[in-house]
Order: sequence, then C-alpha cells, then structure tokens
Amino acid sequence: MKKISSQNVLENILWVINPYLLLLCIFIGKLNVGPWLSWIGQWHPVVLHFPIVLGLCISLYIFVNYKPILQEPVEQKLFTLHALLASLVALFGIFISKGGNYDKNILLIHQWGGLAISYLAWLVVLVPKAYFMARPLFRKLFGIGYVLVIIIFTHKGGQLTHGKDALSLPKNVNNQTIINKPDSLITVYEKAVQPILINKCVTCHGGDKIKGDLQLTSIELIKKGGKHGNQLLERIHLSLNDEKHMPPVDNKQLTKEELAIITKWMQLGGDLNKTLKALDKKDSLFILASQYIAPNFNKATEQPNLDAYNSNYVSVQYDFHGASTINVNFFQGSFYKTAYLEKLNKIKDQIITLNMQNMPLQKKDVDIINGFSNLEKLNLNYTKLKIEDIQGLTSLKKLKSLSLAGMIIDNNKLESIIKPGNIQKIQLWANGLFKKDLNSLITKYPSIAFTVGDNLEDSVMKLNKPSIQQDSTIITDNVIVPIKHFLNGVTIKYTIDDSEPDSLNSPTYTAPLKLNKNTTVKTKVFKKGWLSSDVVQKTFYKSSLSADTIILLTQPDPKYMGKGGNTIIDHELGEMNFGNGKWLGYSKTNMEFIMQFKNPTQLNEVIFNSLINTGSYIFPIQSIQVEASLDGKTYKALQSMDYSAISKAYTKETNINQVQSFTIKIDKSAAYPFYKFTLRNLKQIPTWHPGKGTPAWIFVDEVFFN
Amino acid sequence: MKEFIEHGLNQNRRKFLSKLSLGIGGMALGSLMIPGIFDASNEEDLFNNVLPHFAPKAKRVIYLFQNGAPSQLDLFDYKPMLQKMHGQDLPASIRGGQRLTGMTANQTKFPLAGTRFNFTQNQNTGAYFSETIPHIASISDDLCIIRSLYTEAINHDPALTFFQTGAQVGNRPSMGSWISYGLGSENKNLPAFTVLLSKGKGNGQGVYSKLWNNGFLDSIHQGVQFSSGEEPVKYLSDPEFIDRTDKRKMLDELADLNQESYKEIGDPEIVTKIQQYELAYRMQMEVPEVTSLQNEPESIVKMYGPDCLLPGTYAANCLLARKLSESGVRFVQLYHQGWDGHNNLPNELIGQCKDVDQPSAALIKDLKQRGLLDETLVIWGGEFGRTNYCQGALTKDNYGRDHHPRCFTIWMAGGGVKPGVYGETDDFGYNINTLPVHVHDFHATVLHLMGVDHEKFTFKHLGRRYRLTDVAGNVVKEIIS
Repeated sequence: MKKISSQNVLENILWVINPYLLLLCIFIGKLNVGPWLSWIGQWHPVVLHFPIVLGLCISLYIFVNYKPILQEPVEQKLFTLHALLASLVALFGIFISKGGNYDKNILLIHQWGGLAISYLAWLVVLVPKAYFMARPLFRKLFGIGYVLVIIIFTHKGGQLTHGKDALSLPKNVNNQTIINKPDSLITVYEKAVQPILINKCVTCHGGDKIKGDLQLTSIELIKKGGKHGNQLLERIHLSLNDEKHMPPVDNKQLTKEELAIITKWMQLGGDLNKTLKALDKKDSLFILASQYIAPNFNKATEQPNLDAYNSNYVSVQYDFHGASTINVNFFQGSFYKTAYLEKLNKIKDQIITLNMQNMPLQKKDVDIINGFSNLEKLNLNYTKLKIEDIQGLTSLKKLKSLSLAGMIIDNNKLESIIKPGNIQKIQLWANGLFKKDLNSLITKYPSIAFTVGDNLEDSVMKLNKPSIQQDSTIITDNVIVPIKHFLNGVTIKYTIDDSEPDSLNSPTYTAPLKLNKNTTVKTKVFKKGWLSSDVVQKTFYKSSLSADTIILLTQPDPKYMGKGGNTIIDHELGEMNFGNGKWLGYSKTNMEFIMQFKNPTQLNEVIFNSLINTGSYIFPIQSIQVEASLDGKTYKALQSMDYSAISKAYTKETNINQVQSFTIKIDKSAAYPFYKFTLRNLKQIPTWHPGKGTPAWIFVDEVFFN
Repeated sequence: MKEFIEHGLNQNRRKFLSKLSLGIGGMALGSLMIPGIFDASNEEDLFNNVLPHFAPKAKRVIYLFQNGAPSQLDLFDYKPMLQKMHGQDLPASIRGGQRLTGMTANQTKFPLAGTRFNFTQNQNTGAYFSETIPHIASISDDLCIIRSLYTEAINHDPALTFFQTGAQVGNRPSMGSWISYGLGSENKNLPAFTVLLSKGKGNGQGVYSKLWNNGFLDSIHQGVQFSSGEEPVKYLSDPEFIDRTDKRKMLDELADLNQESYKEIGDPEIVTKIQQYELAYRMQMEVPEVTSLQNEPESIVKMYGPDCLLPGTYAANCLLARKLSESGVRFVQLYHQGWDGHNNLPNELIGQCKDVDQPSAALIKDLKQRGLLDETLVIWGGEFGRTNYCQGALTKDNYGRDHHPRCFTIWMAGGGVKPGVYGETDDFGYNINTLPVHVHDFHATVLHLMGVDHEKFTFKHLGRRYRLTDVAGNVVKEIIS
C-alpha cells in the first residue's frame, strides 16, 4: 500500500475543489446559499490576504529563478498551499457574493478573475518544474503575468467593498456630499443642482474620469465647460437618439424635473449663492427645487414579496423587476371590501398608482387612501364617491394624476380638490359640470391638464336601424316576428299595411308580431334627442301548399345549381349572396320546370322570389308562363305574364342589387297534378351595360304558391 | 533535458483518470448544492420572475388590426404627385424591379392612381388625413403616425401571420400570447389575451385562429375569442341545474384527479387544463359584468356611434375593448375585415371608414377622459400597404390598388408614444425615404413600451431560444416619449 503523503492529499483536494469552483461560477445564478455557507463566505476578506501575498512571492520566485533558494519538496508544498488557499478564497468569495448588494459588473469581473487566479495557481502545481526551467522566457512572462492578474482582479474586489475609488489617487473634489442645511439657508445649487450632477454626471465628468475635459464638480468648472466649450444645456436637451445626448443612452437619464431644474438654474445665470428662500414662491424653479429629493442610490431597496396582497380582486405588482414602487388595481366592484384596502397599509409608502374604478367606495376608504402618501396616480372613476368625500385627500402631496370620470361634481366645490403645484392632470368627465365653469377653472390653473371629454348628451345623432329577428320569411301556418333595438328607451314603431311607419299614427311595438298571411313588416325607431332611424322592412310570404317534386327541364349553370330542383321549395330563402348555393342561376337558357303534386291541386297564385344584381349581370325575369296538365304529357297554357318593362326602364345609372318577387295570379283554374313553368331571361343585355349583347342571368329561389 | 521534461509531462492514463474522478466528484458536490442545475425549464422560470425588465410606459395594449390592408395613400400618406401624374405609368426607376403579386405582375402598364379624396393637414403635427376619416383627424394631436412601416410578405396570410407572430409561417406564439406569458393577467378573473372579430362590407380576407395561437407557449396563453351575440364567451355559462357551490366542488374534485394524473404522466398541459377550468370558473362572474354594454351612458353610445350596441360590429368591439382593457386585460386584439381594395377601392374605402373612423377615435377619447390613455397603447393598422398604381381599369374617380409591402402607415396612441409624424416615403409613395420601420422593429418597440427587452425575452423550444423578434428588431426610440 502506497503511503498517503500530505502532499498527495492536498493535490487531490485541488482536483476536487477547482472543477467545483468552475461549476459554481457558471451556474452562479441558480445558486442558493444558506446561512452556514454565507457564514463561511464571511471568511473571504479575512483569508484572501494570504494567497495574495504568497502569490506575489511565488511570482517573484518564478521570475527570478527558484533553484537555489528552496528545496524541491518545500517548494512544491508551498505552491500547493498557495493554490489551495487561492481556490478556497475564491469559493468563499462566491458564497459571500450571494449575500450582498454589489455592483454587478465589477462583481462579474472579480468572480471570473478569482477563478483565473485559482487556476493559474493550480497550473504552477501541475506543470513540472523542469518545464519552467527549460523555458526562461515563458517563466519570466508567467511571473509578470501572474502578478498583473493578481493585482488587477483583486483590486476589483477592493472596489466592491471600498467603493469604486478604492486606492485611486486623492482627488480635488469639493463638496461631494449632499448637504443638510435648513431650507432657509440652502442654496438652489446645494439643494438640487449639485445632487443631480453628483448622481448623474460626475461619475464621468469629475470623479475618477474626466471625459471630454469636462468637470462638473464646481461652478467655475461648469461654466468653463469641456473641450467643446460649455455645451451642458445643449447636450442634455438633445433627443435620446442623438449621439451627443447626455447622459449617454445606457446611463441613468435625467428626469423631466431634473432637466427643468438645471435649465432654469443655468438660465438664472447659475448663481452659486442664490438661496432657495430668495426665489419667488411661485417661481417654477422654487417649486421644483424645494420638492427635489435626491434619490438615495446606496440604500438597498426593500422588496417584500407581494403574494400575500394579491387576490382575485386585487392586483398588487411592482412597477418593474427591481423597483420598489408598487401599482395596485382593484377589480369586480361587487366583491369589494374595505379590508382589501386596509391590508395595503403595510406597503402604503411604496404604492404609486392606485386604480379603484367601479369600486363602491365610501368615506372611510378615502381616509385609508389618504395615507398612501407617495401616490402619484389615483383613479376614482365611477366610484360612487361625492366631491365632499374626496376633499379629504389632503396628504397626497405627490399626486400627479387624478381621474374622476363619472363622479357628480358640484361646480363650486371642484376647486377645493385642486392644490396648486401638485396635480398635473385631472380627468373629469360626465360630471354634470357646465362648460363655462370648467373653462374658468382651466384658465385659472394653466399648469393642470384637464381632460373633460366630449359631452355628447345634447348632440343629435341618428339612431341605427332596428332588426327584425326572424330569419325565415315563409309562413306555413303562422310566424312570430320579434323586433329588437339595443338602445335603452327607444320607441319601436311598425306597420304591416305597406305604409311608412311614423311616430304618431303607427302602432308601437310591444310584443312579437304574429303573422299568417303575406305581409311586409316595416319598422323604424324613435327616441327623444335622436334622429329617427331608417326604415327596415321584410316581407313574409304565405306558402300554404307544398309541392312534392320539381323536375327541372332545363339545367341551371353548374356553378349555381344549389341542391337541384328542390332548392326552390326547401323553404330556405336565398340571400343577397348568389353564390351561396341556395339559388338556381340561368343565363344560356330559360328556366323551365315541372312541379308535381301527388293530389291534383288548384293554384291561385304563384310567387317567384328572384335576385336582381345589374352589376353582376343579373336582370329581372322577362316573362313567366304557366301551363298545366292532368297526365304530365299534354300541357295547356293557363296564364302568362310579361315583366320585360322592368328591365327596359333601366339606364346607365341603374345599379340595383335586391331581391324581388314576381307574382302571377291564375284565374278560375281547375285542380291539376302537373304544372309547367317557363321563366324567360333577357337574351341580350342592353348597350348601356358593359355586358352588352350577352344573355343576362336570372336567379330564382323559392316558389310560393297558394 | 528534453526527456526529463517529457517524463514530467507524462501523466499516465491511470493517474489522469483517478484524478479526474476527483474532479467529477467536485462537480457532483456542486450539483447537490444547486438542485435545479440540470433542469431545463428552470431558466425560463427565472426570467419570468424578472419581467418587466424596466419601468413600463404601457400596461395594456389594444390592437385595432385593419385586416386586408387599408390604403395608406387614400388615408394618411398624401401624395399630390400621384394626382398630378394620374394615369401615367409608374417610372421603372421607382419600382426598381421589385417584385409584385401574381395579380398585377402580368399587367402591361402600371398607371399611377392619385387619391380621389381631399386631405386636411394638422397644423401642429403636419399629419395628413383624408376626408373619409374626420373623427380620426380630430384626435390627431394624440396620434403617433408612422408612415414608414414595411414588411417582408406580399400576400395576406403570411403578412398577417408575420405581424401577429413575428414569423410568416403560422407556428409561433402570437404577440398577445407573448405578452400574456411574460406579464400575465392583471385581473385574475379574465384572460390576459382576448380577441374580437368584426367584418366590414369591403372585400374581405379571412382571419384564422392560428393568429391568436399560443404556439409553443403554454396553452393558457392562447387568445380567448369573444364572439358577438348573447354569449360572448362560448360554453362559459353553466347548465341551469348546476349552482356555483356544486360547480366549485366538481372543479376541486376534478383538479385532484388531474393532479394525480399529472404526477403520473408529467404532461404540463394537464396543469394548464386545471388552470383553464379555474379561469373559466372565475370568468363566469366577471365576463357578464364586463361585456354588458347596456349600462353605458348615452353620451358614450353617441361617441362610439349607436352601432356600438349592436353585437359584432366594429363599434361594439371598440367599446368592449375599452371595457376589457380597463378591467385589466393585457392585450385586446381586434380584427376588422374588408380593406382589400383590389378594385372599386374608393367606394369600398368610404364604407370601411364609416364603420371604423368614429369608433376608433371614440376609443382614444374615451380612454383619455378616464385617465387610462397614458397607460394603454392603442395600435391601428393593417398587414401591409397598397400600391400607388392602379390594379384593373383606371377611371377618373375609380381605381383598385394591389398589395404593397414596401411602405405603409400605421398609427399608435397613448402608452408612452410621442405624438407626431414619423418616417417619410418618396413622392410616389412607393419606397421609404427616412426612418424605415420593419415589423420586427415594431414588435421590439411595443415590447419596449411594455417594459420588456425584446432581446432578453425568450422561450426555449426544440433546442433553441425563440423571441417574438426572432434574431432582429431595433426599438424605434424616435417615437417613445
């Protein structure tokens, strides 16, 4: 059995720990560190100095030539110890990194740099000494390189704990701190301008970097400008996509307020000693600057889990990932409880938008809302509150937008909710306010954008048509015809005697109509404050008899043959679309067919429902001829009708697309089992039509007979 | 000396393997500490928790899709040059040999067709509007009009699919599904993505459910179609003899059974099914409240036009879109068919505008007067534009226009866009002069407005990561306020 030497053990540990380290580095995002590991992590800053010092010594040792100083086993042990320490420190570093709030970019460099150091240290152990000895140049380079790697990457670690300026040369920066002075003494520069510059500009212009020779650390330097002169105002006002825009696109941008503060202050001459107090209280710079609170970037934002606040009726969400600000929406007013709102008290300082539209709110709810002191946007549309109730909203100093649509507001009291300087937008709609009073408010508060909406109550508009909700137009026995209109409070008038419906004389629709004979229903709706609708009409045909068979003597065009002969007696009416398979269409021939009854039947009236669409070359039927037979072989003429006058009246201006019925009455007829019909089409379309000379189409669906 | 070095470097296989086993041991130790390390879905969960990436300007989207492609030259992109050269051939230098559809590729002539309509100009923004859309013109101070959109597809279905899913073949998730997946629903009682359809009288093109499909995303993110009529969501209401407590009990039992079979089989669709039943149960309460238009005040009815009470009309859908959106639906997708004016375009256009103009403008005004416009992004536009030359017979006041993917106009309002006119086409309205905006750019911008970085928002499927913008797309910063 081979003796296990301590050297072997240490080397084996390296073989375990280094791949492990690599793995952790790759999947660091998924790593969860418990309390014990994070305690181990705390040792990182303690232990790290040993491998650094050792590493520097080893570099020097390798660089110079390590033969004469140490014996080989000692040397090897030292290298191994160094490698082990380096790896352990890196490991601790990974654990500690999960616990704190560090600059992500620096951390990333430090993390992989630490890994590189561990692996380089391991390399020294793995690669035989003779290899180094044989290559002096490589040896020297390695020595220098290793020193540089150690210095650069461990310095990143220093920056993480001691700030970006760790170990940088002392700088000539005045007043880098935000000053706490009472408002009576503080200057505009100290109160607002300087904090803005410090937060958003001096990292590049004044701190460790001085880009474009511009320093924004003192008023003289600001006025002096950079290598392009003083372009401060110009650059911050460029559009974001302009290359010269400042701050650069990827950096934190100036807010609208900050932009205004700098602009106004510079316009005043950039006076360093101008105190806030010396400004006019109504001056916009005073308003902006006195409200300005520099964002505190160092303080880690607290982000409690919001699951407990969310329910089916309340949605509570962070503005975005990493934000501490919260948006709240309430839904389904019928389930609203004040308790839902009370529950939000724990996070009330973080809530910036609150949407309570359609919630049945009361005064007590308003009191709770009044505690949400950082609220910027409040939606109280249709909340059933009264103006008196919301007068209590006195603590919402940061409120920018308030929506009060649907709230009944007394003109005199509206002004009481407007606190100058706070609100920027107010949405008031359908509030029963007179335009005149609103206008005076709008002129009185020019800084507030009022959206009053269109009040169209008084504008006169035309009603849309009612709908006759009976698809079938064929009356076999009787038919129920409902008429519907969707607007509340309309009066539906109708006629069944072919007269035009009017608001006075025509009957008012109350219940569905019951029809049992050929009827044209005409209907129209009326309402006060509206123009009456167009007339809607629909004709219902009585078809008391039904034929048993239809035998088509001429075949319809293959494209428009429906379901064959039965198409015209299936009680399904063809609609305006002639290609829907419910029509029989003829153009090359007349339409000829035989209608057969099992028992001889007397016909008094036959109605052909036909389509006319001149744009599609579909013209009226020219004539209808009826013949009858007892045996189905010899027919005798009964009646014929000529309709050619209809299409003769058409001119170039004609553009008809409608369904029309052609009725033929048969006098004094006997009962026959066989009837033969011939429907003639127009053989030559007149010259005014683009299809002149070609035969016109006829389209027929449904034949009714009584 | 050389041999000496080589000897040192000679790791024999046994030694290497034995050392390696230690390394693998180290790895194994690592995997114990990171439980989800080999779990592929974990990564998606991880990013899911970090949306939105930054502060969103828009919380909800209403997309008024004008299906069939409205003619930009007769609505927004005014080109006096075309009127001057009415009937003359399109110069070959302008066309530049670019492809045409099969419908006009065989035409021997390409006579330019100037618009028949008069245009008015907004003095503040410089935007032009044709006389057919007076209501939209009246809200032009709120509109961000982009005249330089372009797409890759030249026919309806691929172009529509491209606009909705970011790809021309129909197997990717729709935009609304992506939003639903990334941001979820605000209101737990309604789906995050809903779809409303309507049809104008003009020449129409079909819309298919693949346009609001969830693709490879979980099927809970599929668009829920609200149909016209008595029952807006099909099969939602219970049979008469089931009351809500019974239903609750049944769903609980069913969920238990489903959970068991999920444990056994592990198909994520089973979990989806449970969620869908739950959502449907909660929708039973909320949907009737949201979809009932009867309680809208009369001035709202007048604003959208009285057709808004007629289920299935564009006006009704606009009103419904507002109600759904204010109730927390993230993405409301409307489609209005009938813009495909290959012939008789001016007359069809008048009819289409009559349906669309007033309700579209009313929706913007309505959102604004409720204080919701600045958090709701409204988008209005088709899948491509129409040609500057005439398809078929050209007369003084009648013409047709073919498909034109190289430039067209859409507009947006609210939700963080900057009102104004962006992009410019050439004098012929054929090519883009400035600020070309590709469909991918459009998607990237919409996601950006919702607080989502389109490059980080991915889903891993069949071994690769997919984005709505695939591997392209730049945020159009110019239009962001």
